[in-house]
Amino acid sequence: MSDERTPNLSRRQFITGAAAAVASLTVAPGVFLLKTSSASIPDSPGTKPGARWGILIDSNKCGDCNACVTACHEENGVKSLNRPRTDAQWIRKVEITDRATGHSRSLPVMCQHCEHPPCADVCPTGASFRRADGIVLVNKHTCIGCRYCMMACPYKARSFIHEPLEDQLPHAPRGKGTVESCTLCVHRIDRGERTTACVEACRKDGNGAMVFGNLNDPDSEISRRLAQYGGVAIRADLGLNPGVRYQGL
Amino acid sequence: MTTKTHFREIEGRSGGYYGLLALLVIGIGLGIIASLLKGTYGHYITGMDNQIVWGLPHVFAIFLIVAASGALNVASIASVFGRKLYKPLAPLSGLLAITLLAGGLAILVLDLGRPDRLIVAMTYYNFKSIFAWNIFLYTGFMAIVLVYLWFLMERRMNRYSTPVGYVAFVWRLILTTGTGSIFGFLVARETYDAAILAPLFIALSFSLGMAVFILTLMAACRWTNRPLGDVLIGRLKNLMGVFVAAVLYFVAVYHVTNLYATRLHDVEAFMLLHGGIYPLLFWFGFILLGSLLPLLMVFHPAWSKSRAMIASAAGLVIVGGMAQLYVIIIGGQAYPLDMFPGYDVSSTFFDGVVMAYTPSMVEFMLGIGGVALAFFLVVVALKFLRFLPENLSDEKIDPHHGGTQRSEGTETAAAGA
Amino acid sequence: MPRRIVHVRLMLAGLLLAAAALLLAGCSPVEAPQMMEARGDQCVEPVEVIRRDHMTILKAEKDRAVNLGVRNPDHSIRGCVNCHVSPTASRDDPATHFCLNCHTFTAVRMDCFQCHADKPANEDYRHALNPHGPAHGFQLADSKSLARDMEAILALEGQEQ
Repeated sequence: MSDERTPNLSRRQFITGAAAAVASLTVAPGVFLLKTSSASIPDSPGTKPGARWGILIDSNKCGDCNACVTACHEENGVKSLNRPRTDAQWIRKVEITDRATGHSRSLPVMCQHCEHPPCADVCPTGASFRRADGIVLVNKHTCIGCRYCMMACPYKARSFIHEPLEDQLPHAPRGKGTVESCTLCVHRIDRGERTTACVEACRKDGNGAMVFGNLNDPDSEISRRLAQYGGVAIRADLGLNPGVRYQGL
Repeated sequence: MTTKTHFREIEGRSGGYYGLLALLVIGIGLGIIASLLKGTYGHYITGMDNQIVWGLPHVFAIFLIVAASGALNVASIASVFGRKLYKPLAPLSGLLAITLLAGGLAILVLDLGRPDRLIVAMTYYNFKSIFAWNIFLYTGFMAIVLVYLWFLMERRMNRYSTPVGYVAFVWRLILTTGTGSIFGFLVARETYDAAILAPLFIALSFSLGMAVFILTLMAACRWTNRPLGDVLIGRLKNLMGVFVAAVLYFVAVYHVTNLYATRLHDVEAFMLLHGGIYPLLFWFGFILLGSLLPLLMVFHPAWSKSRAMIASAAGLVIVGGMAQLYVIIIGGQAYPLDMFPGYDVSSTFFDGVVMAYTPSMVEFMLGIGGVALAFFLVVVALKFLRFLPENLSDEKIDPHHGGTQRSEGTETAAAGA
Repeated sequence: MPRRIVHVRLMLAGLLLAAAALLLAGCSPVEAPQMMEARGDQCVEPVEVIRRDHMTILKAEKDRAVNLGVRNPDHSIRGCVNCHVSPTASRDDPATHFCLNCHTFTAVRMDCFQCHADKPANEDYRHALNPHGPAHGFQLADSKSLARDMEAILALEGQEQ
C-alpha cells in the first residue's frame, strides 16, 4: 500500500526532530547548531494523501472540566481581553439540557471541519477552504474580513478579530480584521504529530473524552471506535458531513 | 409630436446649494472618520461582535444598494415599457441608481475587516459565493447604467438607448435577486433560509427606489424653481403605493410559510411577538409607519393631492424599509442558532442566548457617510451635467400624446442640446 | 483667458519647479539605517537573490504552506524573523528589527506583521538540525514539548506493532 509509507516518514521525522531538540539541550547556550547547506533541506511532505483528520468526542465522558479550551487557546495564543462579546473562542464548552427529560451534559464545540463547509461556499475570495486532508482553514492572506462565513457557519465556530494584536505565536498567525477558527492544530499535523492540543489536554488533564485520528483509515482508533459505537454529527440534517463527531448526544 | 424636453444643469451658485454641499461633505467626513477609527482600533469599537457580525452599516449599505436598483425603475418604465411620460426622468433615475450604489458599496467596503485588501476581493474569486457574484453584478450594473446614461444624453447614441435600457432592467432584477440571496442561501439560519427573500428584495427595491426618487425629484425641482406637474407626481406616487403593497404581500407570504412549519414557530414568535425591538420595528416601523400609513396617504382621495403628504409618504416608506432591513439583518442574527434541537443550550460564547445589539456611533457615522456620498454625487452631477429637465409641468409632459417608439430619439436628443 | 493671468500662472509654475529643484539639490546622499546583524552566518539563499526576490519566495511559500501543507522553513517568514530579528526586538527601536527597518527605509508597506509574530518566540534560538522536526523555531529547549514529542513517537511505535 502506498499509504503505508507516510506514517514511516513522519515517524522518522519525529525521531530526528527530537534528536535535534535533545542535541540543542546538551550544547552549551550560545552555540548555534547551523545547517551548512540550504539545498539539502527538503520540503515537508504536505498533506497526507488520502487522510481525513477528525476528532471523536464522547459527551458521556466529558465533564465539567475546561482543559481542552485552555490548552487550545494557550497553544494558539488566543488571549482573552475580558471582552466576552468580541473575544475570540476557537473552542468552547457547551452545556446542553434536554427540555423533555432535564438530562444535561457538557461537550466541546469547535470548527467541525465539514466535508462540505458552508463557510468555504460563501467566501467571496476563497480564503475559507478545505485542505486535501479535510482541515477547514482561513487563508489569512486573502481574507478580507467580510464575515460572510460567520453568517453561514451553522456551528458558530468562527471568531472575528476585533482589535489589533501583538505577540502572536510564530506558528499561529492571527491579526486584526480577519476571521479565524480552529485549525485542528495544523502546525502540529504538518510536522508529523498526530494529536491536537485539545485532545492531548483532554487525555492528560481531562476525562479522556476526545480521540484524534484519520477517519479514512479503517484501522485508526477513531475509525474503530466510530465503527463500534457510532457517532453523530451536530446538525446532521444539513448534510455537511463534519469531521468532528460526538457520542452520547 | 410632443414638445421637446429641455435638460439643463442646475445653477448651483446659491447659498442653499453650497450649504447642502457643505452638509453632505460633513456627512462624508463623518464616514471617513468612522472608517479611520475602525482601521485603527478594529471592530471592537463598534456594536458588532462575534454573534451580530453584520450591523447597522450593513443595514445602510443594503438599503442603498436595494434602493439603487429600484431607482432605475423610472428609466426602465420609459425605455422598456415605452411610457413616454417618464422619459424626461430617465437621466435622473440612472444617476440615482449609480450614486446610491456607490454609496452602498463604499459602506460595505469600509466595513470590511481589511478594506485595504479591496484588490484581493477583485483578484481572487470563489465563484460559488454569492458575494463574488455580487461583485460582478454591482460593477456590471454601474457600467451598464453609465453606458445607458451616455446613450440617453448623447444625441448620436439616442437610438441605442432602448436596448441598453432592456439590458439594465434585466441586470437590475438579477442584481436584487443576488442581494436577496446573500441571505436567502444561508441554510444555517432559520430566519434567512428562504428563496422568497429574493423576490421580497426585488419588491423592496421597487418601493424604496421609488421613494428615494420621488423625494430627490421633488427636492431638486423645488430648490431650482422648476415646475413639476401633478400628473407626473401622481403617477409616481401611485406606482410607489403599488410597490409598497407588493412588499407587504411578499412579507406576508414569507411569514405565513414560516408559521406553517412547526420547527419555525419559535423563531417566528421571536420576530413577531416577544423579540423586543424586532417585533416593535416590524409592526410599528415597517407595517404601520412604513406601509399602511403611506398607502393611506398616497391613495386617500383628498390627502393624496398634497405634495407635503406625498413627500411624507415617501419618507415613511424609507423609514419602514430601514426598519424592515434592520429586522431581517440584525434580528436574524440575534436569534440564537438552533444547534441542538430540543435542548436548552448555554456556553461562554452566547450559545442559546438572544444577542443584544446596540449600534455604536461609529457605525451610524459610517452609514451616514455612505448616504451623504450618494447624494453628494447627485448634487455635483446635477450642477455639471444635464440630468434635470427644465420643465416638468403638466402642459409640457402630455400623457395623452402616446408617441411611438421612434419619437424617442428626437425627444431625448434634447438632452444633449 | 486674459493674457496677464496666463503669465502669472506660468511664473508661479516656474517658481515652484525651481523650488523643487533646489530642494532636491540640497539633499545629501541618504544613509542607510543601522541594521541589526543577522544571527546566522549564512542566508538561506545568495544575498543578491534574497534582496531581489525575497517577496516572491515568501509569496510562493505562503501559498504552498497554507493550501498544501508543504512547508519549507528556509523560505518561511518564520525563517526570516528567527535570524533577522532580535528576540527582544521592539517596533519602536527599528535597529532591532531588520525587516521593519528596511521596509520603513525603502517606504515599501507590508502587512506581514499584522498577523505574523514579529520576533522569534525563543530567546535561545538556534537552527534545528531537522527543520521539519518539532524543534524548529520555537519551544526548542522546552522540556514540555520534548516530552510530548517523545510520547508521540512512542505512541506511533506502539501503533505500528
